[in-house]
Amino acid sequence: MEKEFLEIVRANQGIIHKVCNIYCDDEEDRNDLFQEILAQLWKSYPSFRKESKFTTWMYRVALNTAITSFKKVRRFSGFTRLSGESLLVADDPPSAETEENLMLLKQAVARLSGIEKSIILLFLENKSYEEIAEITGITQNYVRVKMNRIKKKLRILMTSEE
Amino acid sequence: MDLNDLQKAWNKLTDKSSGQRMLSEEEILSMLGRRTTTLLDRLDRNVRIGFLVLLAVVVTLLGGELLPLAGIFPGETLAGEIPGWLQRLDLGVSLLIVALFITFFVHYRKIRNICRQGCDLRHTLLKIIGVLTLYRRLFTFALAIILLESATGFTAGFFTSIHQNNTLEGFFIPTLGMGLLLILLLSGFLFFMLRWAFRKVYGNYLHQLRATLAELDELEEQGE
Repeated sequence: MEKEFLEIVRANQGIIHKVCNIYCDDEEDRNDLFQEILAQLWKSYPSFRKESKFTTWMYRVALNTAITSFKKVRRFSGFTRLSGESLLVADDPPSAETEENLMLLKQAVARLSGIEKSIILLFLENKSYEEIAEITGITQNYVRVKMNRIKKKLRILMTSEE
Repeated sequence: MDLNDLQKAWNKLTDKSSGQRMLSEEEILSMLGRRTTTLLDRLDRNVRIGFLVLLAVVVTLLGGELLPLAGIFPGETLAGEIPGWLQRLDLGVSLLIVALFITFFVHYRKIRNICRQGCDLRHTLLKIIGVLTLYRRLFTFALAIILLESATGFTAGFFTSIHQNNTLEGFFIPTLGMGLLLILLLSGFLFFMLRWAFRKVYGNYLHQLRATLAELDELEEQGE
């Protein structure tokens, strides 16, 4: 089971990186959250019944861990601001337009609540409303309601940043 | 700026970063070796230790009730020196503590069964909030045991002392009152100390978890 777990996590570790990047600003916190998510995945893996897709299950465990992370609350009592480095992990810098869009997105996302961050992350990852509902535990209708609100909120935040 | 543009920007970024920072299986294994317990595991372990300590206290209390002193030390009987109402009160306190312990344990089992593994966010929040709240209440429960047992023990000891030598006869009410007041003050101090310490460590965390749960519940309520 250990080998199977390591293989499947190695292949899908991008999910953990994305979750850590959207929730943590500091490199040390990202590493810490990464370990916490890994530990939770390992602990939960025996109960993964393959009723849902592995990636859906992985997002669920990772987001649950990030939102309920104790260390994050202890270190940052308010919302966390994402620095310019937190989402930029590539060697090849993006174009000026992409970078500008990205900066706006990052600044706006940093102002969202934990749940809003998880929903927008899943939306940006092209997850269906059904999958988002399965991951967050709310119904699809309310995911739609929430998504519309987040879109409006992001538009306002990004317009004010421009 | 349209959200679709953002989605494209996001996709570009994640595509670029997909080859970056990829850990090997050995590195993942090494990370797992460094941490195998989660916050909930640690809290759960503390709650179980708390239950074991309280169970020991409860067994001791029950032992005291079921095995009277006269049974262990023949000739040593204090029952006649302690007023009947106080003996009944002592028994009532012990039964109350046992009942509270059972209630706590049943509640704990319910919380543990909210969801086993890999559950959704709502149930995860409910479980952590439940465990944290129970953890805090266990402290209060332990304190209640100390307070009730100290008060009844002190009063029983006081009556025994009066019965054996009448030295305190003139100071009966003031001395008893003073003793009980001291116990109350000490327990009050302990209660506020424990509450302060809990809030210091977990206060913000619990508050944030409740706020997150309220945000989820607000969405559900709107549709009803």
